[in-house]
Amino acid sequence: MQVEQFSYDNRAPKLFAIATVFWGVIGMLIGVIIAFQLAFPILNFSEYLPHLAFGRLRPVHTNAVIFAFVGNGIFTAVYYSLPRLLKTSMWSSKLSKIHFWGWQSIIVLAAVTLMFGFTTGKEYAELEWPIDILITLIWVVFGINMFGTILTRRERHLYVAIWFFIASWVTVAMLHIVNSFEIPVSLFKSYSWYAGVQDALVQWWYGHNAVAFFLTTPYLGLMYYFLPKAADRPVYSYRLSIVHFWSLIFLYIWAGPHHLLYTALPDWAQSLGTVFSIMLILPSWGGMLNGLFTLRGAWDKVREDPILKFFVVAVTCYGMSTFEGPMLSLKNVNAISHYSDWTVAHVHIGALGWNGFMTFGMLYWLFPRLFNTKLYSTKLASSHFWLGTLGIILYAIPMYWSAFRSYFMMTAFTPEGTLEYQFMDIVQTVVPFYIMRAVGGTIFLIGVCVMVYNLYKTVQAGKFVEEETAEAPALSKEYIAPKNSIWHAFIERKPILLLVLSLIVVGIGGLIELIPTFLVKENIPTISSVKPYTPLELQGRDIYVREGCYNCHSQMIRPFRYEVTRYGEYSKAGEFVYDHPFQWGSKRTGPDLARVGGKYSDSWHFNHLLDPTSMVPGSIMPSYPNLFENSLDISSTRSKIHAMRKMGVPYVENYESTANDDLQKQANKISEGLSKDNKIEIGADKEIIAVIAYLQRLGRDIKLQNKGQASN
Amino acid sequence: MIEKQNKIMKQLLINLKHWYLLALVFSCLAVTNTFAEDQATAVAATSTDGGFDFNIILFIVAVLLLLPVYVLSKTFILSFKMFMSKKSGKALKVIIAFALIIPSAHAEGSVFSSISSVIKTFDTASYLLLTVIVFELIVLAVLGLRSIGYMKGLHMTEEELKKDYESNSFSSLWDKINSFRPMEDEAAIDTGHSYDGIRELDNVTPPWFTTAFLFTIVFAGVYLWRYHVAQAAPLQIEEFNKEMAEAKKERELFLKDQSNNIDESSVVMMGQADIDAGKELFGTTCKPCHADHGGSMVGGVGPNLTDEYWLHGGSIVDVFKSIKYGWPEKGMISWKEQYTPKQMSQLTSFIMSIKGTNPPGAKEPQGEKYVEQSAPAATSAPPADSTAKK
Repeated sequence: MQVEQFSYDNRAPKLFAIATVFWGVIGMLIGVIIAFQLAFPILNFSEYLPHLAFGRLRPVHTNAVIFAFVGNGIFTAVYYSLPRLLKTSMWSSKLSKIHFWGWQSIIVLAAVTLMFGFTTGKEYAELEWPIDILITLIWVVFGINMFGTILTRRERHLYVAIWFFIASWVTVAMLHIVNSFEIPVSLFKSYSWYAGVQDALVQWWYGHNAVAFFLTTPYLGLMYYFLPKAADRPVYSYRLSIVHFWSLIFLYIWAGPHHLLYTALPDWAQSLGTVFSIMLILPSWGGMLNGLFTLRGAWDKVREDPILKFFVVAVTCYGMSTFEGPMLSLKNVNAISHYSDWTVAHVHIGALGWNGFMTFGMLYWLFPRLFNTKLYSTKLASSHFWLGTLGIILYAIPMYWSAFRSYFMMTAFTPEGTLEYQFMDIVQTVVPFYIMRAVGGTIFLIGVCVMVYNLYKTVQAGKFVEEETAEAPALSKEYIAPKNSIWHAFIERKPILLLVLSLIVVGIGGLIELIPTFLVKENIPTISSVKPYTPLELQGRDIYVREGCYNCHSQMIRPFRYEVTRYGEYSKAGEFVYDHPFQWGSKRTGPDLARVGGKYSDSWHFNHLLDPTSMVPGSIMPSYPNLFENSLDISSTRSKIHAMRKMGVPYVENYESTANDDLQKQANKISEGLSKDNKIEIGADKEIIAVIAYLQRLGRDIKLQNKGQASN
Repeated sequence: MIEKQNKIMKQLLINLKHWYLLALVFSCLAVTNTFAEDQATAVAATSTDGGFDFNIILFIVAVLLLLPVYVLSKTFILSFKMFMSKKSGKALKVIIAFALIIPSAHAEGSVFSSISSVIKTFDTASYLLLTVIVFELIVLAVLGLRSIGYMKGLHMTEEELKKDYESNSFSSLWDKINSFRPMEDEAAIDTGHSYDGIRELDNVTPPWFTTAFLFTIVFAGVYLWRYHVAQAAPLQIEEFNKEMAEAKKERELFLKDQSNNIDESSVVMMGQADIDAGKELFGTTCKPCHADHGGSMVGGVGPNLTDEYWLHGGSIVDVFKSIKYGWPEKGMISWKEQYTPKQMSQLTSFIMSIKGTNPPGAKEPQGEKYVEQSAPAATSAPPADSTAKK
């Protein structure tokens, strides 16, 4: 058979690796900043710039570390390992370049638009529709390049790392497209196609599986390449790879509803989320076991080699968080953890430990090879390892404590049946924990800076190897499988079949959960007193979304005595039918707002948003002076009402043309009221008026219904 | 062999340093936290009296524990070195040193057990310090066991050592539950795959893995069956209703024989101590809208409570009711879920006590002038009395 010559292009992995490091530092730096903001609200600088307030920066942090840091990490791994595992060059270096620059421009656009308040208000999918389209295009470019490479391979069977890359690619495409269905109202504003409960279900089906198919499965692929390489040991079990690959991708997709336990989501969907999470433990652990057992016989190397140390801790963190996750999906545990710092600790064990350490290990392994030299300093890498570990511990432990303390305070009742603690008591108690957590994060970031220096010195000492030549025989057309080969080898020879099977396997769970929620009416019982938002309230709601209030405030009261006593009647599915997007939130740094309407006076909200500590001493909420300066843009009302009606919100025919009259009337009333009752002079055209209108509306509809029933 | 062991030893010593570092960092954090906590509690107005003293004890324990850890680590190093050089002469000294440590570690243990009795006064710092202590105890245990292991090994031959390892219950159990095959047999289970030099073995999946996986699947089936088919377990709303009913019953039982069961029909002016208590409460939650003197301010959110004019009636019953149920449409929230009847009554008494104090910068009068009626059970503001106007 004729041996062919070809070469591996190192330029793409180099670019992606540098981008990984760069965005890693930026993303984590923003993380540290927002961590300090929670303890010291003055750091929001919102008196000067609205762009840096926690509500706007937090999405920048999450998007930067997930899609920029880990995203580029995935692409580094794919562009380095894929050609080598398939004995071929990358299909098109032009597409590689488009992919690289396309992805980096998406990141820059994302950071800028998010800071300017252009957001869809759906966690981890905040980017507005033009960027969503751009992401889709670049993702397709990546897919074409990947499949072009796979189809021109010189290795007949696909290695397990590639199964994970394929499944991740197709699932992320599906998740992104389905969750991003939105109706544009302007260049940078759109409404989610789904509303309320349905929007929540789609969003967490997406959100959970963004964790699964962006942070987990591609990184398992990464592990399957770099860990055996670094340890120079064979992969422990091929059989285990098959079992855990298929079971993992099949089961993962179902688990989304565990983010919505005890909410207004129908019980059956919640239960599916719980049981599929429990069934996920072992498939996840399959990956951990295959990683750790591969090191059998190489443990003496682990003691010396910081790369392997990083991998061991990464895989262990993966094992811990994939056990913790299912435990958090049990209803009684979730009752404690949901909305609390526990969830924050949990995701950071995964993000800092698994994704972070896996990436660092890969980079330390990769840079010397790309630059044909030795790592500048093993000692510094080892210091990085210890700094990182200490950082994770100092991050996680305070968060666990804060979660439990606030839970015990939150649920404490006096014998008389009143709440023992005010919300502010709890906030004040957890602030010291926030400081400790920020210190932990800072230590982790210092470790990363040590790595940057180490890698920089390595690059300086070496010379970049642009291409590595290799040779292998071409694949012959005919192939007869050996008699003893197992059934799965057949799939490994057929990449398109693998792609289709993966899509089917991940599609099942999604369809079974989503379709009934959309079609079966009993799942969302209608409440007749729930009416669409007035134009002013709608505008106020958009400002609420813009400022990222949902990052700290939930709008979902769970059916627990301590929540109902504190916040009011528990939330019903029918209350959210006009909420495009839903704003249930996932973390309560501040109190729930589902029924804040009518609880305080307009002047209270006015003073509170201008300076939260004036109404709530000790509050850690940022102030929002920009709302008092900006005039409300009422030119958008028309298209907003129009878009809403298109999605089935029952505004009367032609309401678009009169909507602004109603808006002005309501605004004048609020402004006059403030002036008359409290001597507060504020123009009716200011944004604050719309925000007050929206806040005063929250949860009102169902109160009206109850009043109606009482009088009957 | 010796060389390799020495290398491991070195590594272990480095790790030891890290342990120390970690313990120290935690202790420092705990101390700084104690102060941060103090400030926080001042704002939160929740008393943690005694917590600080208790933390000092914990801190001393944590620091004291560092000593046995240090001594034991020295012992450990010594025993290890001797194990390597097999100079049995020094063994005695080691054992003596070791014997000295055990009782002291024991003493720490008894302190530890007494902690549980004061667990109620725990704050963040206590938890942190406790972690340090637990951590140190773990280090102690590990070091102790290791040292004993090495000392045992002093009198063994190479052959016996190998046997000892094999009979070591943990390592053999570990191999067994994972169905590990001896490393020498690796060639037999090589799949022959080689991807960019990465080989794959065909080890069986660990038996416990398969069993546990099947167990989770059975769990899933039983869970769904119980909740949705047999309906043997309560769904969330049912659970909620039960919780509320129980709470109501408990509350009623408590209030039955309680002197503080005060409501609008029984509220009366309380004594000076209670007025002061009310003043304190007022200074935390009512202050933002009514100012701490109760007179609100020009442009303030709430009305002036020191003048004779009232929006919702000025009798003690009216004031109590305003606090209890609130006037939501005016922005006065209901406090009945946050304050006990006694606290609301204290607040009422304080508000009644500040009438006519006329504080500087107070808000202009709102509402109607209220004149005290002789009838004690006035339920709402009486109509404006023309004779009362001057």
